[in-house]
Amino acid sequence: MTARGEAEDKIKGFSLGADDYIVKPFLPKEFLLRVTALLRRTYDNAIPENGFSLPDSVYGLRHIRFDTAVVVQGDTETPLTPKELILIKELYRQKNRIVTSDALTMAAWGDTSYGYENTLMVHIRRLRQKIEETPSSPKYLLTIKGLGYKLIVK
Amino acid sequence: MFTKKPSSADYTIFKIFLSIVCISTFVGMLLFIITFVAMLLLGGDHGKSYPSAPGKILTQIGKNFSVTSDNNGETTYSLADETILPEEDWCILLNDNGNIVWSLHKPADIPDHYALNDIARLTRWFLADYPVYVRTEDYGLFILGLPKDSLGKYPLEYTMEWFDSLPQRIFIVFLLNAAIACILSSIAGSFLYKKIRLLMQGLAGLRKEEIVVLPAKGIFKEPFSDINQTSQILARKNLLLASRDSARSNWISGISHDIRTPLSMMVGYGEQLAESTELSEENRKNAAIITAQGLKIKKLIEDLNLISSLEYDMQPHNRKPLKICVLLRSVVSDIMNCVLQEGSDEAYEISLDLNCEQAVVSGDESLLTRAFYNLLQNSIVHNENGCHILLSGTLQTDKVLIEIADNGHGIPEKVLENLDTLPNTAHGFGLPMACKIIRAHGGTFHAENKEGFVVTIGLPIMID
Repeated sequence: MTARGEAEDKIKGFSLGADDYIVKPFLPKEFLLRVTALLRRTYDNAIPENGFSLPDSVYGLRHIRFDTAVVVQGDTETPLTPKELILIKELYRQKNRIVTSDALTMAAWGDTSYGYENTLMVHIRRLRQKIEETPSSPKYLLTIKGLGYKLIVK
Repeated sequence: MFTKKPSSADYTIFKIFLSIVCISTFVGMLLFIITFVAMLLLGGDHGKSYPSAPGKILTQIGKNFSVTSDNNGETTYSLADETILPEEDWCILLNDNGNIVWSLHKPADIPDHYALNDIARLTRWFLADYPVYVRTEDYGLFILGLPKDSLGKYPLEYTMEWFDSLPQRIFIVFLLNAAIACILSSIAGSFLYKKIRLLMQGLAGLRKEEIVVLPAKGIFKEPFSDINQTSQILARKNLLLASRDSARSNWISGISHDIRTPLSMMVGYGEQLAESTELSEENRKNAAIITAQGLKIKKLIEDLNLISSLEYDMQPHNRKPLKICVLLRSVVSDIMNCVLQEGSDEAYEISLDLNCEQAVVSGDESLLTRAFYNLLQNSIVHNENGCHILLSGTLQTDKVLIEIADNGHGIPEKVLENLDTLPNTAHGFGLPMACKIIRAHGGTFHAENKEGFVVTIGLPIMID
């Protein structure tokens, strides 16, 4: 934690063995977020996010579970493919924010080639069929034209 | 004479050298030809130093001479006009027996009688050291004598073979002359060549702002020492400039360090107060304003630091290949995620029209992100009532053109004029900084007010 914000200072700080670098002045919230992020990174498996739930008019809630890679609604369980799981995890990690197609393809395929655009679209469509009530007019997994997608989780 | 690695400067000097050799060879040949022709024209002495040539005098004498025989068989010889013969010359007339029958100005040291042998000897050469000329008439032989030592006589005898081979020999002499002229001018030129090369190296060094030390002697003494001095002056000035720049840079970073520490306290406590349940709603709001303004100052300080480091340190450090479209999408998402909060979504609309997916530029990701972020934020901040921003990209042969156009009411012309300079007020760091970042990446930056504010950026692409 320092008031020196130059790139060189940061590099020096990191090379001294710092895990993160925060320059004064900062918000206590930011500090808290950074520490939690660091803790999550360090104990990735220790504090797993097991999933989230979306409201569902029929069953009340629809649970998306990361540990078992399924979408649970009532008694039915719809399995998620590995790619779908990666995508929904990535979207959830940045929930309520636009995630660019590039970031999603990077997460799923480790590459940002634009050629994956259509493949990504197909996977998103399948994901919608599993998590949306009316996949044709999505409420939670929104397309942001020209940029990417956004997962709305209240 | 050639360096191992010929540069363009070496090439230029070589051209100078070649032209010196060519010109001097040409001049040499020209002089040779002129001399040759002059020799031909002026080679014969046509007796210009005498009032009239010996041959002419003899002809005149012949014409004006009268030979009369009287009844007694006595013959009288007389010259009608004795002024024909110049004072210093003399003339005699021999009859068939070799006796002098008439004379004018005859010196004492020439004999009175001439045998055949004497005649043969004097015809071509001298008579008692007098250069003589002869003219035959029916009545005798005229001998015209010029003063002693006034004339040299040399025989010119050539074989026909000599005349036949004359053109070849002239040609060979010409070639030989050309070769000698060439060699001599090369020797003289190589001396100049070395000097001029030094001069060129010195100038090139000056351009690169290196320290140049040329040997200040010889005919190039003055330009050499001028160049040496100029390079020293340049070096001194650069040193001064650099030290002033780094002083300014250090000062800015020092100041910002000093401001940050108290600011962090302000922002920290401000946020605590803003969330404190003990305060009234009104006071919490005020605390939140304090926090927000504190963060604004923080942002300004960061900008100031970045802009001052960009000013003096024009090369971005962390360059790597970047897909520009990926970067633009992520910037736009960031803007939409952070700047455009709920409620304002409808007032602002950002649309993308990117036709440059393959474009890869070499750049510093955080700096370029900052530049585009600033530009988009600029459009949003300057149009409180909302606007439509169109971000378009087109790929060209060697660059990618990115246009950020909004339909708002533009920005003040004054800001546009001062894109290159650090703004005097903290009012708008965003635009000059974006401009600086783009230029530091070797790109072009053009901003204007059209139907709204339009920024056109050209970035060189990496071609693999």
